[in-house]
Amino acid sequence: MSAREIITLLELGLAYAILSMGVFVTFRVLDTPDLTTEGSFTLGAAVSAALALGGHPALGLLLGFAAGALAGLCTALLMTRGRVQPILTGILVMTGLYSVNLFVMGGKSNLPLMRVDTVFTPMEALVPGGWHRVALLALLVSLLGVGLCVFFRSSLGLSVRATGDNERMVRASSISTDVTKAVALCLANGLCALSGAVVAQAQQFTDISMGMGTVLVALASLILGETLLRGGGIPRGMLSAVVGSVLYRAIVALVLKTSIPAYAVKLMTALLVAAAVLQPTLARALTLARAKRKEARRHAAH
Amino acid sequence: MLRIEDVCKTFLPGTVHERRALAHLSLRVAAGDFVTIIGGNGAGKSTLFNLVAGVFYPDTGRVLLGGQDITYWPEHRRAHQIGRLMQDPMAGTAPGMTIEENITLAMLRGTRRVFGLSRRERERARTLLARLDMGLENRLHTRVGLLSGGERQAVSLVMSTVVPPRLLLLDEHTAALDPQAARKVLRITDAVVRGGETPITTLMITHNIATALEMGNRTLMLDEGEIVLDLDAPARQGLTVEALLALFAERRKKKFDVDRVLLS
Ligand SMILES: Nc1ncnc2c1ncn2[C@@H]1O[C@H](COP(=O)(O)OP(=O)(O)O)[C@@H](O)[C@H]1O
Ligand SMILES: [Mg+2]
Repeated sequence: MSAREIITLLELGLAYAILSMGVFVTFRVLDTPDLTTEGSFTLGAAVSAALALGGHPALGLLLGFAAGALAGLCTALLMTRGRVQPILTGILVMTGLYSVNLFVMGGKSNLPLMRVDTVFTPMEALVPGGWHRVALLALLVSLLGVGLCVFFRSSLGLSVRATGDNERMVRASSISTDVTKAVALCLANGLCALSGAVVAQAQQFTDISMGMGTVLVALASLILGETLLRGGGIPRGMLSAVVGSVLYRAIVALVLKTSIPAYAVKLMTALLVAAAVLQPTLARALTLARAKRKEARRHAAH
Repeated sequence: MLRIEDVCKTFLPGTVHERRALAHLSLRVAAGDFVTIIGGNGAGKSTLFNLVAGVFYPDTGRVLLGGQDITYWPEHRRAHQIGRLMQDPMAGTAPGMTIEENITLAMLRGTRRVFGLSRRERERARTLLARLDMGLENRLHTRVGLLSGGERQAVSLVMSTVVPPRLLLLDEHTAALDPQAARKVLRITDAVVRGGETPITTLMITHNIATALEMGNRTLMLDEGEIVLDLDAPARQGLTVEALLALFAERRKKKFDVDRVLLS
């Protein structure tokens, strides 16, 4: 692999690591499958691109996060106050966001950011050799990882974790689970949107359909990381998001080097997640089958 | 401290499954009282607790805590005044979080503070856990899901009393434990309730009549949503389980359903 290719996969890996962190907050911490992600990822990208075009790339990241958080709030209200099922809620908000995203992008289905200043432009002078994006992304991802670890040790963060762990207990303590769920969903979708915002400026390109399939990509990355890292809790989750996301991009890059066609990547991703989800069931079935065979053999010997 | 005025609660009214769980029940509990509650299956004991804790609201009547009418307060609003332990040891703790994280969450409850514990609070948490005599103070970073039922119930007990509540509700909190663990948790309960500067006002449901007569300073017996017997400390003095059952039979003109009730 050339240095150029390694730089690209690190850029993508780090930018999408933020998405995996967001997915970690909903799927793992809150234990709720939230599909809003796909819409908020594109929303972040759209806001970021629009503001970069207007000459405010840094503000683009900030408002991208805020817009994602707002989308998360819509999801939270539907889920808690409206008692809509999580999957349906996600689909509702994601679908609605498609129109919102097009609106933000001025009705165009893609926004190129060629020759436009991004948050990475000032870094070019500081870090040589084309590594400037990687450097800034590594800094951002580290700050977010540490920040999230600190947050989840605060009283609000602990309450959010407890909500995903044992909702009944939280309801019996003096915290409204509607509030803790809203906090988690705002934070998660803010992160997903921030990821989209960063991707848009790193790739200097935004497309209305760039969010498609991102939930699975983020989940697959997270699962990859989790299989490699032991321990538990939030720090492991954060590290898994980063390590897994970079590893996922490396695998994709390697696959694309073989004769396997690029369109097979989505299927591979889906299979990876399916395998991870099915793993406990398969393991149990395997153990049972083995035990049966052993017993049968013992009988045959008699 | 706690005043329950003439509450009624009927489940599924107007259906074939209509079931009157509480019938014009009134009760006053003084501050510092430790009331034990017994009664057959379906007598309405848990319903009474649920009304006090705000899991659901009464059809009629009022619930007052410390002079304040809390009848229609949502559950989470009154929760920092009311500690509650259930029969299920899994109910009171977050299994995926460590002992320390669980206790921290409980200690920060009701405070405005955002961030973790000070060194003094951490020491206090350690002391409280050490008092359980289960070695949990040395396993602060163990996930609670890995503990035994008795250990989890002990941690739940510490969590619901670490910030002393105005009222502690214990709903058969030892029923799911093996006899040895149950005895231990009961001993801890007594220590925790009376261990602070002032004793915690406590209501404890138990299916063990002997335990009910031994612990606390007052015993209530419920039947069909009514309080049948209300025995204060002098009345309980020297009362045997048999005498209590006889008293019940005399009041209700029927024998107490001993089925699930342990006599020893
Ligand atoms: N949520 C509910 N829905 C319908 N019926 C209920 C509900 N909770 C309790 N009941 C009924 O009310 C009666 C009293 O129940 P409960 O208070 O749980 O009794 P116990 O004294 O055994 O704790 C029982 O007949 C029970 O079936
Ligand atoms: Mg009960």
